[in-house]
Amino acid sequence: MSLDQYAPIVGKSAVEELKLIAGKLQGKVVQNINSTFSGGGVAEILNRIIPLLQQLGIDARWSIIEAAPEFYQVTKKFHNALHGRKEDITEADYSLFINTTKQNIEHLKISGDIMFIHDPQPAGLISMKQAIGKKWIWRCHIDLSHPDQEVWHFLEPFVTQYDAAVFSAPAFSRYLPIPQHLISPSIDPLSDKNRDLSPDVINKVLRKYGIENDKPIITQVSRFDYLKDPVGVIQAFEMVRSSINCQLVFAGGTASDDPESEKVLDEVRERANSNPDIHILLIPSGSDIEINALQRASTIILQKSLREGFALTVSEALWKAKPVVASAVGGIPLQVKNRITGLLSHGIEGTAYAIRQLLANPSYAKWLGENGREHVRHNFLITRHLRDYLLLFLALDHPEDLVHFT
Amino acid sequence: MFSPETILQAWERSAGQCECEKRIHKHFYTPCGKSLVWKAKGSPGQGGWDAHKITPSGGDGLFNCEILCWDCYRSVTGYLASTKYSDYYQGPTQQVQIGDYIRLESGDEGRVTEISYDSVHIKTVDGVDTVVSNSEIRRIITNYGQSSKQAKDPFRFYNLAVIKKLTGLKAKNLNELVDNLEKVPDSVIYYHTHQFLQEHHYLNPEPANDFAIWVTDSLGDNVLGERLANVNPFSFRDLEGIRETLINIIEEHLSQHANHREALEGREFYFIKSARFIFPTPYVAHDLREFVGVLRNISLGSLYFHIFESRLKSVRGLNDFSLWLIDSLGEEETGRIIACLDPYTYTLEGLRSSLITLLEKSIK
Repeated sequence: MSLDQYAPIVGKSAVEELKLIAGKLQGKVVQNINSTFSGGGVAEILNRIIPLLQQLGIDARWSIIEAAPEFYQVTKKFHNALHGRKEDITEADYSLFINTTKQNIEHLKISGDIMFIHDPQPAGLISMKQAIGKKWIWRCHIDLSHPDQEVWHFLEPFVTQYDAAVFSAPAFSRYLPIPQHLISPSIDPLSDKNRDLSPDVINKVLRKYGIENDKPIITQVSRFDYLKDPVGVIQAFEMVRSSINCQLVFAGGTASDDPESEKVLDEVRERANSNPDIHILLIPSGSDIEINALQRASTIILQKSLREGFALTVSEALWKAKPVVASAVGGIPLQVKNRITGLLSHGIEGTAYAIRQLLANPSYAKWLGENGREHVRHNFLITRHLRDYLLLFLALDHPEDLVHFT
Repeated sequence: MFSPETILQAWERSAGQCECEKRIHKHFYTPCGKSLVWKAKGSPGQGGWDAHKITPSGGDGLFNCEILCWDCYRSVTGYLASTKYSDYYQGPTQQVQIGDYIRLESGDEGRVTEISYDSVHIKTVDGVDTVVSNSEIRRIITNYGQSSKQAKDPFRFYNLAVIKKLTGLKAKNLNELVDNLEKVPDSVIYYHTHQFLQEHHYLNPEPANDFAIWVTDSLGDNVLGERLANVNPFSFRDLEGIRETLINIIEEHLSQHANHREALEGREFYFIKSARFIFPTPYVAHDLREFVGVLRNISLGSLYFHIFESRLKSVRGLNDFSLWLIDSLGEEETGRIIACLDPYTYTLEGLRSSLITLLEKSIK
């Protein structure tokens, strides 16, 4: 994508602002390092943001660490433990992490003014700092609010050697002796998942999944995972359906690395009990246009999760100017400002009540949706993400709270 | 611009005679040939002449430089082609003269610096020299005419960009909120009483400050929430005053109401601070017309900086725009009206529109 393609969406002056800030960083080499070039949210955002940084005159580069599959099994356990789940992590696991880090330090050919390290897998590369210097940033994309203490205590000595850390939401951060920045993730308005679609495309997708557009559609897009509370979604829908004629779409996929997801899908199908107003859709991964179409066809979009990361599906829904009812967990309250850009709920009954409020007051629902779209336009699009990264790079050399360039 | 050497070489080539061969000037087959006086360069009197670019985008070399008598020069650079001429020569069909401030359909706007038979040069509000073809000139939205009163000092626009820093501090009840409010740096007070204006600048009415929203939504204390929401940042000269007022309200409330409510886990108040970066932009205004033109084009971060941020550093408690209008342009009344606008009650785009409307009236 060309940076100028974003001007009609965020305004020419917002794109000019990016160029103005980038003017202070011309030629800087920013070396990004993570664990994979494809798959997962980190790779997705790097794929989009690196070309834009390059267009702005930043020499942004991207390398990955190399490791045996066993290393990723260990880091998967780290990931779960940092999210608060109990994992059985052995001394051998920690040794494997350290040895793999050492091998990468020996073989990784990297150079740059700023080393931008993403997530725990490559966090140990900070040990190179003593030898090569440079500025080092650790970008944590995961929720560290309730980490397993043992795993956190293992990682903390690495993290505290960085010049700065970046978290996606205030609650995800830890108290650290280094500067911590708050940078939310973002969505790309020009991607297949978010770009405008013609009514023909939307109707075709509805026909494909056997959904009639003859009554309000309430949708939740999420993996089949207990933490997304699919059964709670059905229960809330049934409460609403008893008095208002509407239909539910629960669209999501199963994750190959999550054996539980098939079980959840079976349970959800059983709970739906062949109710003709409940559509349980198993959508293959990569079907971005279909997800986009289903969101655009919806009257209300839900995100009734019990635990969440940042939940960018909420920003996706808001960008389509849809009224959203979502749980106040993870990064959702940053996106849904209660009664301003959507409605927050705390349980099944609250979700049902909020849906009824919106169905009964279409003009209120429309107002919330429009506010939500503007909220995303200014705070959760990739252009804001770019601006934050540019300012982050500048902040490494200017740690003060007020910097006045002349 | 031609160098003095190039002009001298062109002058020698012309042998002190007008080189114009334009048929629209009725020079058929032979150049104009009017005798010129070296010292009369740029002068409308007898022997007056000037150097002209044959092709606007053809560079500043000798091959693109022609020496024209004053009549031909004015006719080419300042001429207003009639419909008849424009039919033949596609000349500008709108009345434009050097020094006019014009606004085009493309959104570009600026002052006309040169006019040739097929194009017009304008210096845009961000200081870029742009050549506009006749076909584009036909799509002028507005020609505002010649310069209005020049300011004593030009107004340079700056842009404010903010990055958020986490402090690691949080509060789960009112006592912890006050304790932290007393010790956090000003940049934290700034963030929670100002940043929401930038993040929610599209909403009207603006939501309340972060403290008021948290007390209402997470502690369920609507009475205190209302009192905190009523703290208007516009009525304070500095952040210390805002901090003191917030603390006083909460402490007074605590002395009257035993509030032991605690926020649910994950809904605590997280203290965040703003790191502010101020950048000079290429936008400079020398008069009111240019000022309005820039206002239409600057980022919201720039508008925010000059209206909100500047008040906090001004000893006179005025925003940058008011100060410039009063001190550099002598527009006392307009400056005072803008100073009295409560910017906290507008969306930023609404504020931009209101300022433009107000200034347009002032120009008239």
